[in-house]
Amino acid sequence: MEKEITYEEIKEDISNLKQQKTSQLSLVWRRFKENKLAVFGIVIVALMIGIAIFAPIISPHDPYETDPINKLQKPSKSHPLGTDALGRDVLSRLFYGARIALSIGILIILFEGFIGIILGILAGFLGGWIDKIVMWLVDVLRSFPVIVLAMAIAGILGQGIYNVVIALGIVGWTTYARMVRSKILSIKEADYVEAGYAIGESTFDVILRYVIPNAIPTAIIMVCIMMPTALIASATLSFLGLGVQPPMASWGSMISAGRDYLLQAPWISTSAGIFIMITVLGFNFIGDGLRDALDPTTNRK
Amino acid sequence: MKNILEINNLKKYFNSPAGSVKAVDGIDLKIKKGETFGLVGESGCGKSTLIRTILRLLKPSYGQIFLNNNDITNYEQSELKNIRKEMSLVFQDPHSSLNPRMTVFDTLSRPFKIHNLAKNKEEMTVEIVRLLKLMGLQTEHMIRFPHELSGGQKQRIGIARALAVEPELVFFDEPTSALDVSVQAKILKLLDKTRKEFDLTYFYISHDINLIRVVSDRIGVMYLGKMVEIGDAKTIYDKPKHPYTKGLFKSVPVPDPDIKLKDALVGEVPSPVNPPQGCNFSPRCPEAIDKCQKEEPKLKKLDDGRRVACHLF
Amino acid sequence: MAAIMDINNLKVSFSTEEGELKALNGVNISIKEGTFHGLIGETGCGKSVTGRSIMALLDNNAMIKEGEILYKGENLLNKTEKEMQDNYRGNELAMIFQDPGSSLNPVFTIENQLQESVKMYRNTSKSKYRDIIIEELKKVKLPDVENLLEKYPHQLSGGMKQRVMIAMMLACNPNFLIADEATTALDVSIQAQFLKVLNDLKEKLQMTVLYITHDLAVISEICDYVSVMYAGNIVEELTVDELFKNPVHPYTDKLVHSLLGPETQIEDLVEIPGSVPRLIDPPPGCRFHPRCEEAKEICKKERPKLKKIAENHSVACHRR
Repeated sequence: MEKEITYEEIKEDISNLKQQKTSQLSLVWRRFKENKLAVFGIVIVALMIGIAIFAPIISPHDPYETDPINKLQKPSKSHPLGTDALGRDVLSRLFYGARIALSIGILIILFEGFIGIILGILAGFLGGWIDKIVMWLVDVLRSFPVIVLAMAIAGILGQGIYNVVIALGIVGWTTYARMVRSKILSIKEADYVEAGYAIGESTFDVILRYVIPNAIPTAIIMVCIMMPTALIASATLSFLGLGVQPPMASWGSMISAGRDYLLQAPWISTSAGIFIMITVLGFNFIGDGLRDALDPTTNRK
Repeated sequence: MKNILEINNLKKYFNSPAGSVKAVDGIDLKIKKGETFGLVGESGCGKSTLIRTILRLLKPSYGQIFLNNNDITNYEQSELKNIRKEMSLVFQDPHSSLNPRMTVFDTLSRPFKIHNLAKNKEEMTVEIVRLLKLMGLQTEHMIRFPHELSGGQKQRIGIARALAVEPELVFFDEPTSALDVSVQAKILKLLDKTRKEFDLTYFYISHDINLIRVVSDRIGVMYLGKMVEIGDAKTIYDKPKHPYTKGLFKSVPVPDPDIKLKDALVGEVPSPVNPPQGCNFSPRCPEAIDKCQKEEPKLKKLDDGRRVACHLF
Repeated sequence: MAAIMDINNLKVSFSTEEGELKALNGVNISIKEGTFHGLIGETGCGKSVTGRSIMALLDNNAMIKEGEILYKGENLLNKTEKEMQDNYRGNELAMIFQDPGSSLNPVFTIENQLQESVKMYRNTSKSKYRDIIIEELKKVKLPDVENLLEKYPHQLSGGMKQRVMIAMMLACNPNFLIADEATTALDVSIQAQFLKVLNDLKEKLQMTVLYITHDLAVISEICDYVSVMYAGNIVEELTVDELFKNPVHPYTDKLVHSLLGPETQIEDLVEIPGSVPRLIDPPPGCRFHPRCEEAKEICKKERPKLKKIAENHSVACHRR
């Protein structure tokens, strides 16, 4: 028999260990940092967020100030990206557009994500008729093209930013629900969940300590991956005339407005399109980087 | 010596699109305190389902389970928490039996917190360190995550977790089948030492006949949900009587180049949805007689103390 | 008996994000024609990598650093992918894997799966295909063969699928078969039947088999010779008889004595202290030295080479 250990003896070892303990977060961050594309993604998104926040300061002009005499001007010193059909400075509108894009994007994600993740958890964990109903809803919604359905809803609700968010939210939660549900299903089958029950954990604690911590990475990754979709979807709705209304500057409506002038003044639509593209790429890079960084078991080659 | 565990006619059926799966189909068993019982059988025989039903991780379809003379068959959630202290389970696959998001310390602290086994955090930490050292691990392993450990180390944490609740009866589901042979030796010796030190009762299930023989006092052989032979380990191992037991033992390759497999089992295990009529081993049995296809044999006690379910006896 | 395959000083590494994983550290195996040659080792020792190197089926991050694989005198490592595909895989070299479920195409019937092999490797007319297929399936003792032809893989059990795999390999008529943990996922009784099929085929066909496994009992059942592998090196090559009666290398000796046989008691079990090294940063010299009770200074510095100590018996150890 070994001699009894007292806390005094191990106290020093324990405090040493506490210092050493690499939190999971720092491990993830370290792995993430090593992925150059992912870091580039952060730079892009940070840049866009910066633009959105500081738009009033960095914009050379008031985005709403019309100047019909100087309409459709080529890029120049005073208007680095030219002017649009109403003589407004394109660059300033792009900067202010970043605010709309990002804030709508976040709102959409939060709304869709909230519905989708909760339904996914319920369906995955509880199974039975809840699962059947949720999956049936998912199938029904997915059988329509998202934009068409969103258009229909937005059409009913009327124009405006919040209606865009609601419309896309109602239609777009299905991806979240499916991914979360399938992750929950695979977690449920894992031995460590059964082990939790076997040592006496209550169902509540099993969900809290075993299921959710293992599902969080999936949820986080999904948010990053869905942001581009949300951005493009809202830009599309704006482009189609729903959602953001003139004179508000949104990238989607800028592309739409610039359509008629593609030959004379291509910079209007093009620059808005490029901004959308860059932002989307940024989130994609972050999403991929997160996915690799969060899963310690991916066999990276 | 009292019986720590007693099961009567325990059945567990599952519903599947193909029909009712009779995973456990009427098992009677008494386990004495302090003994090591080994249940051997191939995949699909129901041994995994049996121990999970006994542990009440599954609800029995029929029959009774007595733990220390308490009828736990119909216990609900609140009462079950207490028996989780008395019986625990070590899982087969060390790579999936530990929560990837919990450190070793977190995993081992749960039993203490759930069952209030320590007065305060310091005492709990001392106990956890003691468990780690008992398993041949170091204090520093506390901060590790499962993916930082080897298979053998993970399995030892799984064992430590099962011991942390201070159980009387520990179940082992193929505890070494996912481990290398050299690690297996370490684990088996460790388990032997621990059993003696804490006066535990062990219930092993495995498809590895040699493992079961080495560790068990008594063994049982399961086939398609039923117990076909049960009794003293040495008696059965030296002279198996049930044709399935005989065939099974003869199907295990012996690590001796001069001894080759002879008279191994033929055929395949039938589907548990549609078990054969009468004795469910009869279609594959080289010694089957007419009666075997008509009537199901019951477990009968023989002179040497063992029980066999076979019409030949 | 001549050697049909000679693997000489094979060094294979994998590039991973943590660095270079030095999987094979100079592997030497000599396989005699028509024999069953076992390759035994524990998890991560490199035995699967060796098998895949022969078939040129390594992952993209694999680097062959040194060595040669001589098959019938030709170095397989010099062959292009097309040459391996056209001239070697199938008709000369075949491989069966651990999981029979994922090796069979789920959307083809059994007849179709075998037809592919027969079409490619047997020069006969289409009318003869069915007969050849039935013959191969019967060779592996599958019951009710005519009905089996129309079935899909998911309708078969694990043991039957594994036997269909063998039949597929046999339909190609290979000279050299590599079996990689072919019975690990099977039940004991199914494994026994599988081993019997292999043993029967051994007598009928003049096939050479490299049998990769961690299970010493299976090796004793069907193999003639065995190479013992540890952490990327072959530490001993000997007959199966010698393996159980006179294992020489300290690792082999401990391995054999940690087996659970019909007579073993817990007290008899031998433990090997320490654990298998990480091959990203393997120990210098002899890779087993940190766990060896007999290790001396030279063991820490210089990797021991396989040297012959008797007819059909080589050991890589400074202390022997």
